[in-house]
Amino acid sequence: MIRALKVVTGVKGFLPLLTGLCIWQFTGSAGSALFPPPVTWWHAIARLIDVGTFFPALTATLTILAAGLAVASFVGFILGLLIGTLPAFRQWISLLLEYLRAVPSPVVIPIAVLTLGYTGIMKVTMIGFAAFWPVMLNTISGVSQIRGLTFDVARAFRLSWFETLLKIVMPTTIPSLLLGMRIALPQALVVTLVVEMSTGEFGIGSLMVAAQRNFDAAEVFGLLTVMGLFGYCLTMAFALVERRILRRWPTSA
Amino acid sequence: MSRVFSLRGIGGVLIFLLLWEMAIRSGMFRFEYLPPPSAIAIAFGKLVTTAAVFEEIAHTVCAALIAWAIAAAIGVVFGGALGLSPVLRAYTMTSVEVLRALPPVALIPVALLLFGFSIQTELVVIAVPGIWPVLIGTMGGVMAVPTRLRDVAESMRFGRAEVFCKILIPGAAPSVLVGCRLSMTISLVLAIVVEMIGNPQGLGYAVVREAMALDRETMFAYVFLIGLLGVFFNGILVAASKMLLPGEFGRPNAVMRA
Repeated sequence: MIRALKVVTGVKGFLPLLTGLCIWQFTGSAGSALFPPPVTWWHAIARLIDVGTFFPALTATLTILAAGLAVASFVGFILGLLIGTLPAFRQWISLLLEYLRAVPSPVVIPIAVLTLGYTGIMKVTMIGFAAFWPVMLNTISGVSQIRGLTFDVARAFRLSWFETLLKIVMPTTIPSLLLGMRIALPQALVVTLVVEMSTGEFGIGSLMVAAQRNFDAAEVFGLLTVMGLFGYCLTMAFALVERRILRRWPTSA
Repeated sequence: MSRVFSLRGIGGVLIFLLLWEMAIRSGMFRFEYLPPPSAIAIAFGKLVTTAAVFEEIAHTVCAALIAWAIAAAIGVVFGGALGLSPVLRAYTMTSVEVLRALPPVALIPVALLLFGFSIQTELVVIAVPGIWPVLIGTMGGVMAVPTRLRDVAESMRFGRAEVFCKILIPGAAPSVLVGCRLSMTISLVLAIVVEMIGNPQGLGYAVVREAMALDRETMFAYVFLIGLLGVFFNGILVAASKMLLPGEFGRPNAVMRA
């Protein structure tokens, strides 16, 4: 019952968007060079599917996104654990990290291209660099929320630093890791698109740039819609998976 | 901030630079286009003595600030309206969520198509994504104003204007400011991205230009400069939010957790 109600409110919320698109559809002319009506967007995407570039591009973008996110989560989690559990390491590395965090990640793309070339490694490195921050920061805050008493217990059991990390810190910080990944996901998607746009590497980003250079407005709007839906679905899916994993997670730290 | 600038923090940076320098000089890393830090420092010294670089900084910063101001104004007005009216919320929030999920850079081709390589493209691409944090912040702030305060206002027979000025604005201000701060962080990054892909002006374009000219030292010097600009922006934002909102919203990490 409540779920049904929620769906109804959700659908109601789509109203302004749908009305806007309908007005656009019925008042716009199909030949408009800049504002083609929504149905032509669909035709443009269908054409891309027919030519056989759409799904490979989507797969390419998704693969790179997933690989980059995996690297970002791994590096962010490890760094976060180290910084969270070793105060000395934190002090040595803090200024360096504080500076690197202030560098907008897209600026690093030319550097990555020059040093690593137009390769998959370059793309994954870029996305990893851009998206590991939220994972790392959330892991650090997750570690800092573990109660001191828990560490005392570890000490009483004479657990080594590594054992403490493995048996106490890591399981407790998994929820923070997942939260960090959820924040990192849209950022990773943005950087994936920027990398594809600025390097011309095959993917949705380069398709958009190509469409724009051909003044194919319908295709640009179509791909924009696809990216919007794509981002929305990914975030939703991730939130669902996160909730599923955390449902039985013990909450006390 | 004081803990960040500890001796050990500086030591960490020095060790990093030293390792980098040694790795290049000893030929351990064979990255043809990775210059040693000393060469970058020399290029940076040359760069900041030219006049052109200050024009580029001014262009990027102005574009980011103007677009941010536009975004903040739109975000506050619509966010306030959404916060006050549950009906409006019910009929628009899903649309807002969908539009918000649009990756900001996906707007660049659309804006380029409509406005060409111009400052309008830059402003639109920065401003549209910048609206969302302010809108969500304002809406949340207005909704979080305790109803008790409104009851008090009613019993004191406040007029509409008075409720607005004395209750809603002070009550919502903290989260509006957090939204504005998030939006400004986004705006500087986006300004540079648009300059890299769209509008060929400013610092973002300078990096791409030097990369294409294979002038690796100058390129690194520009990246270093952009990083410094980012640190500077962040510092100002942290200081401003500490001054305006002493208390929990002034924490530097609030940006990442909000």
